[in-house]
Amino acid sequence: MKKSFISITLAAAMAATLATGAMTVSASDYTGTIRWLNYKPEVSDQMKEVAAAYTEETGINVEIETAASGTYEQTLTARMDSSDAPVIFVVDSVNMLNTWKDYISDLSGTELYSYCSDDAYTLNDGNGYIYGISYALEGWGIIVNKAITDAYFASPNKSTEYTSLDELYTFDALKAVVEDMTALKDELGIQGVFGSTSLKAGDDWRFQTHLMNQPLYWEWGGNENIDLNGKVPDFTFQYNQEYKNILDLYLNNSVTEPALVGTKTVDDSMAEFALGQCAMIQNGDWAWNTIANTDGKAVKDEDVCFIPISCGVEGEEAMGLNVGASQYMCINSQASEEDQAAAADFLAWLFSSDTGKQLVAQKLQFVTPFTTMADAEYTNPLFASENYISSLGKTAYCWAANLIPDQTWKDEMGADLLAYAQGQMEWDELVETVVDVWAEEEAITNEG
Amino acid sequence: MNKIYKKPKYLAIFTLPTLIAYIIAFVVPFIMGLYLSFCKFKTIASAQFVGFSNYMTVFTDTRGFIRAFIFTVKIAVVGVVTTNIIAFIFALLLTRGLKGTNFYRTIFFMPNLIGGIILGYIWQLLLNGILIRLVGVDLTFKASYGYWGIIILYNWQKIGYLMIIYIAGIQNVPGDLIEAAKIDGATYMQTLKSIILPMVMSSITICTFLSLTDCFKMFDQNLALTAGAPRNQTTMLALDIFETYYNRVGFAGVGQAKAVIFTIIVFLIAMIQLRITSRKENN
Amino acid sequence: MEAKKNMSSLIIYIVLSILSVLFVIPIALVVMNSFKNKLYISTTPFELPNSTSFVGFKNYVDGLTKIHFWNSIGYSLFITVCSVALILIFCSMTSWYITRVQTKTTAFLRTLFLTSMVVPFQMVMYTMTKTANVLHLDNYIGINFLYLGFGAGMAVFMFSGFIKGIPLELEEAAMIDGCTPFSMFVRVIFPILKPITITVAILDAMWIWNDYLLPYLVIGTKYRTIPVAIQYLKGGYGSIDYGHLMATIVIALVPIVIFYFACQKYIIEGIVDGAVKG
Repeated sequence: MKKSFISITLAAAMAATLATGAMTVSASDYTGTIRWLNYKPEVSDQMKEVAAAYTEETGINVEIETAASGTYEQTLTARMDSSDAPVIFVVDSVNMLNTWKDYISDLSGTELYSYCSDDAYTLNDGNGYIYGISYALEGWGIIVNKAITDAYFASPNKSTEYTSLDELYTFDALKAVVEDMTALKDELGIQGVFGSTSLKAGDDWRFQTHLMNQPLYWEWGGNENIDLNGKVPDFTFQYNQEYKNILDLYLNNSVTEPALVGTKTVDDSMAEFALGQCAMIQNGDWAWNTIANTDGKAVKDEDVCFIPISCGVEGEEAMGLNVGASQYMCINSQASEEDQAAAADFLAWLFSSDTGKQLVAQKLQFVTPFTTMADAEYTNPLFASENYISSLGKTAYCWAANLIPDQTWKDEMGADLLAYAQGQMEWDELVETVVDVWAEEEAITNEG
Repeated sequence: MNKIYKKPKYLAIFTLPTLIAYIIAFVVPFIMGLYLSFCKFKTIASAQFVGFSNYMTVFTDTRGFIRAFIFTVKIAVVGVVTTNIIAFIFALLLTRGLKGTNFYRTIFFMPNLIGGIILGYIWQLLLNGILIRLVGVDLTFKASYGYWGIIILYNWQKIGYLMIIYIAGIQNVPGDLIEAAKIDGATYMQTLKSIILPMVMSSITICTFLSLTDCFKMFDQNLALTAGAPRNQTTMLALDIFETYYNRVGFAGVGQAKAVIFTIIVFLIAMIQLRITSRKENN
Repeated sequence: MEAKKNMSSLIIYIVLSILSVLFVIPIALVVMNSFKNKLYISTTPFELPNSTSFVGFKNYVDGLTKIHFWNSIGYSLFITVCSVALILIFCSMTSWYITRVQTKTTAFLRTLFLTSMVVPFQMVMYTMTKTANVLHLDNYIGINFLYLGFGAGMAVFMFSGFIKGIPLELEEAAMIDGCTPFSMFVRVIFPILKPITITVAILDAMWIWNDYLLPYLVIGTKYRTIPVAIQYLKGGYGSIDYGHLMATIVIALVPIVIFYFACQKYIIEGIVDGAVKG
């Protein structure tokens, strides 16, 4: 996404030569089943279409299993210990990689890896051993319904001097505009500026993981100092006040009363945005499918765009969206040679054949790091917005939240955030608790 | 004739299918489970013996097992008392010789057939709706909301069931005893106290233990209604074991140790019940 | 006196009627909400559907197709019927044998079977799932075999209690007529067991139909029974859809209600029997 033009063309040329040489996809006599344990429940149906398309073209059976949200590692643990273990599975962080290292084969010799434009999109050991390759580069920030903000900027009744989304790159600006919009919400025809802060257990990942990227990024010293292939760093929640700034802004200018956020799901929040009940919602480009498929969608495609999350840290006006690869495809090293080879063939097909590329771009809507996908066309308006923000020269935040120790910490954080939103827990107590739990889980995770 | 039966062939024909299924589904897993409670493991093949350390973890982690145990006891005490008293009152109302009581019996019993998962979601909808109306918050707001939610759900589910057992007990009280009391001028409360109650003691024992073990083993209702919210404060024993096992990487051994302790608790309850019942029969 | 009695009867009827309404309201509420748009369910369940929130049968149509609920109903039916049949056939045979033939072996078997009645499922959930997987019982056919094993404790206990009360003369007469023990069991004993068979069938059918954890762990990723499918709605598709949840709950309730009203007498008798003996 933010790679130079030259490197893309070079890599594309290389890949093309490699591909022509290697493109002798044998009409193999493989009779097994390629099992893929899918990480993304929101595309579970689309993944099944992909599987069916491959079966139709090659006769090889592909089985997609999808884990419910928040239960991927639990499901993987159960499936790995069974006779029909997945051949393709996903790790979402270095910590998870460490847990599963014994089950991951080296992808450096695969066709898929030859398509990958940069090692930054892989999990590797630094010596050429490729554990996993990302299949979706995702960006997130605050999704905005421009029609509503434009109506605000044009309103004679507004009491701020901001006139464009491009000015909302600091927390002070964002806060001033949001609070003024709340005051004018009847005029703007919205029920709240932000969609519900969905803190129902299992639907709280937008806050216990994604929003945590801001304080983690700043605490650990930014892109240059964060080693995404390293161990879990210590965490003191130095920027907890900044986190609280933006969280309070979400909670107090929302469609939903803070006390009721425990009943709200991500789906609810996205529906509110799609129906035009709110102007802003924190989420990523993957949410486009949900917005687009909402019945009675009122927001226009061309009005959907991003602004970055700001929370009051000095220097954040130079920053753009959170961008990164968080999910890496791995091939199970304990599967039979044939299964592994078949899986590699399948993945090469998925990201380089015409049918496969079309499915990835249209159905799955993944932005991939593969040179073969360079000419893919996407309908998601949020991708254009991402490009626009990086064209302004803004730096993207790396995915620091990948270094959160484990699901236990995330669950604790989510539950505590809910208690805070309901007024049942003081902020200081929350900070203390999550720092303590982090220390415990950090020790467990790093010890391996 | 016993001789023919005793041929190994017949022992095999009659018992082997059940026995094999039982060994596979229960005996082998039970022994393996016992062993694994002393191991650290991710998969069974990689299990390492660690002695009692899993058990130590169980008892030192106050936010896990011990909290769940206390919560479960609280549910059990109130759950057993409320369901039994209400069910008994229902049974009395339905055994006063009124016409058409069958209809009410049918209605009261019905929730008992609905599975715990479905019940949980039905009540989540209803209780959240009420709380949002009255207080402006939902079940996740306070542990006490979740607590009473589970109690109410449990009552709704079990009252009809216990009521049926009490009705059977009350109907076994000989009619002429009650008639005789009436002729002697006893009030209804007196008859209840000195004739009906003593005669249905065995039903009371049965129902008490039924509901007690039920509360201790409760899982589906807990999972669907509160799933432990807020902050695991409404997690009961069975759910806590499940969560430890499957939601924490590296804690499967601890989960298994919790399961062993849980088994001992349930076993003790059953033994106490057996004691009480057999003492009654001897009298 | 008569008037007073009528008065008290009337009060009882009123109390009972109010209570019945309380028992039906939760279900009625779910039915009502199943016709509403998902946005109008979780926070305002008491509002009647209106022109904005009413969606007709959309939740039913979408819910059924999206989560393949027909398959779930099929799995639940198949597993319940097969498992109950296996339990009835094999456990009645086993019970008769170990009750009639008193040897050390049968005494041991009896104790062995009864052990499982006091062991909670969590004790064996993980290891049993693994065993089932190794033996390839983790499909909708194999799971019936697991239910036979799990149901054996209670079924053997119930059957044995009943068989103790059957007079020996019947069997002896049959044996003199030259029956083998097996044909004697089929022709003479099994018909006598009818009442207890119905009881066991009902108790086990209710247990297996509503069971969540065992099918979730053993076959849950591939074959979702009704309770598993409903729980999977939470998170399995990214985020819970209350409209689908309400509709699937209503559909899941229909067979239960039909079954209940069709065999109410047996069900209630069976429950009492099960409770008093168990």
